[in-house]
Amino acid sequence: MASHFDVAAYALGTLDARGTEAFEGHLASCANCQVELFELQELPGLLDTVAETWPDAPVRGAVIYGLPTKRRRFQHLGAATAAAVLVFLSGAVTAIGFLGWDGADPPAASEPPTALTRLDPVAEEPGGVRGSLESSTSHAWVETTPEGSRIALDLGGITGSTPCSAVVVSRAGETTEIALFDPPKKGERVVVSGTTPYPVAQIDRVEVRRVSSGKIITTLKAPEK
Amino acid sequence: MTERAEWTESRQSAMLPRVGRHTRAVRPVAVVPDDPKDEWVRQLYRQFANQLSAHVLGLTKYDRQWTEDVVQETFIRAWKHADKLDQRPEMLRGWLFVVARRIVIDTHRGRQVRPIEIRGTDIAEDRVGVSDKADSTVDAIVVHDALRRISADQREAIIETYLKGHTVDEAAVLLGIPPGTVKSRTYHAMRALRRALRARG
Repeated sequence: MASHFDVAAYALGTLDARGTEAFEGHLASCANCQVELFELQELPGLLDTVAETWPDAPVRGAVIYGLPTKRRRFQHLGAATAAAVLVFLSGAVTAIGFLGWDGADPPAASEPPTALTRLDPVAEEPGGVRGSLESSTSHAWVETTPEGSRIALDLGGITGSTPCSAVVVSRAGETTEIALFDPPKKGERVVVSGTTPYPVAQIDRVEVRRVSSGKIITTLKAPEK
Repeated sequence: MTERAEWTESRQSAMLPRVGRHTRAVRPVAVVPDDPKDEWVRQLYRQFANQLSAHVLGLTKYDRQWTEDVVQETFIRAWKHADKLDQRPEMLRGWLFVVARRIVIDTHRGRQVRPIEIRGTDIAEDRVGVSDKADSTVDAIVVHDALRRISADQREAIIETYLKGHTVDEAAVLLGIPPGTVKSRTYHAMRALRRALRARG
């Protein structure tokens, strides 16, 4: 007998034939499950993307720098694989810059990603990843959207116990707050994301600030060209 | 299967417009009494086939043959559940649309053999066009992060079923827990992933 809980397994297609038929019978008269299916329908596609690289993050190449585990892996990549990564980067994913890290955690001097910064930019396309930004402990991904851009930050080294905000500063000096968040437990990372009205090329930097004092905890910024 | 075979056999007369006596003649006369469900599904088809076909064409990237197969299978399943379906038009339409989406995804898997190594630029083409959001790398990053943060039990349910390609029942055996527990953990995991997507900007 199918129940409401089956809706998620149905959305993922993980019920067997009998379970699928039973749930479709339940769905025939359950408006709540119909609504839930519409709400969940984007997740299988996103999980497909996640599955490609799980347990690593779903941006290959761009993610390889940064986290210690991935750094180790990158060092083992052969020349052909590294070249393939660069071909990939020069296509759908092109790094527009390398963000420095002005906070307490110094960048790892041993591995400047110079290959990334030499890539030519590609034409802007909505939905394409335009920026892969990182330091020794943090990353930012910037994506073009029809309204401007969307940014995801994977931050390490954020400490303290009071709320923080992530603020995007445009080249013209305007600011947009994209996220409010509590610092993670000591040693843990925090991922935040948000949208900005600025095209990718107009983004100057991202500041992480303490909400109570306005003090800048760290700044991710694009390099001088 | 018998029901389905019978239904498929009579589909010519049940769902397609009758264009001549020969169409009717493919069905044995006076052997199968007219099932009320046949008339009901004919009406359903007349009412929703165009809308559903347009919807499915978008999902199949305008593959007409595939669309036709999906629409046919959707109405076959509607016929099976004729006695259970809420007859309000919005409920019928909702049911047809979500079931058709499920069939598109299932048949897409069968239609394509996944290469072992996929170049990064091919990923988008490999995906069926059922999710507008699937092209958003940032959304995928948010989902990835949310998947890391949910409870280990919930994450395990998603990984053992969707990511590893097992059914709920298979995963239940592998994990040594009842299938109902796998389903409820999957449900809570999916809701958490959905909340994470909503919370992003």
